[in-house]
Amino acid sequence: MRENHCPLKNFRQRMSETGEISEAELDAIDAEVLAEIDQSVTDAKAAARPTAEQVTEDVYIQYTATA
Amino acid sequence: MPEKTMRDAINEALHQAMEQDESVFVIGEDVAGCSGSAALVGMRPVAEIMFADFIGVCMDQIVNQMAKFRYMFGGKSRCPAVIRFSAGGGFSAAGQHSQAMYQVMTSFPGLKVVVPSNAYDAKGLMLSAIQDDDPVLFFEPKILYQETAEVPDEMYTIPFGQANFVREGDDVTVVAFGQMVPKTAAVIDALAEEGISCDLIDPRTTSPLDEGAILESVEATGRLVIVDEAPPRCGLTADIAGLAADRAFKSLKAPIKQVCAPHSPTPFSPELEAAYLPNAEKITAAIKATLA
Repeated sequence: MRENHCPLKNFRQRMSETGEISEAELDAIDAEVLAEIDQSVTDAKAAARPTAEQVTEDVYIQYTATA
Repeated sequence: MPEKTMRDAINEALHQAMEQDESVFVIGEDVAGCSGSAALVGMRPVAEIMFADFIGVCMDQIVNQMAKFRYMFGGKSRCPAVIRFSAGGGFSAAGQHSQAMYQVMTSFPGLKVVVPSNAYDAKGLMLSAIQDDDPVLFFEPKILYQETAEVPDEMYTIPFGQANFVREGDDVTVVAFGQMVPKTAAVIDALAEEGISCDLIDPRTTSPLDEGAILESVEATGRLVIVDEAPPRCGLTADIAGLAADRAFKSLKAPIKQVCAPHSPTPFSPELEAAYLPNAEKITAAIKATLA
């Protein structure tokens, strides 16, 4: 069921039927995305670990209480 | 007596309850919303929500329906449903899979809220929850699922509103919930070597709450620390601090200390989560602060 209704598969199928985007172009996009993911993982693993002080960073855009 | 994990103890309770009573049935995953209606027509459902964080998807059914059936129908209906949740942090499961939630649900009249801290209590409390004719929310600290305790094979119940004294002492009253109970017990054992002795109270049910046990202990020690993993606003630490300040003020020798997470979602990063959840250092500092 999931296999038959996968939007990524169906999109690829439709593009090859209409010829709007070639298989070669779709493959190139896939390769680019995979490379970006791999690089992100490498960068994340090499990045500095967060410090305890950062635990409340980005909870709000702005949050000031009146003392 | 056999040792069982909390996970197996709860499982055993479910099996035994279903064998004993045909109206008890288990339903999952994440379909707790219909348990309310099943309960109304005489069944005793035990529904599952995989992570307490997902309670939002059936918040109306729990809060506006199940919690209020008895009250709004003038005592003419009952809702003996149990909903079980995996709750709490410590797994790097991040903001949407680590919340406690039991403190939020405690605030709704009409619901009963249970937070076991060990396998023995988990089985007894679950059997009580199933027998209870009111809606019960059962929050299982997921980081404790693998922890073992001696658990009898036979069925037994633990009454709601009855706290357990995990440790007894004279100097400080410490109240803790869920995964904070074993963590706090370890701190108290270490402090005992320094000559500091503490009552460690595990309320086991936050609603109903064993106020008497807490107040009696505070009247004896004069010092109170409350430990919970949830963030500080409108949480259990504030709730119990308020109770003691109101009803045991004259006994207090020091300000009440609350140990909880900061006002932020649970972080993913293991380093941040370790800084986020109350730890031995923070609990120890709070207890010592009441003695300073």
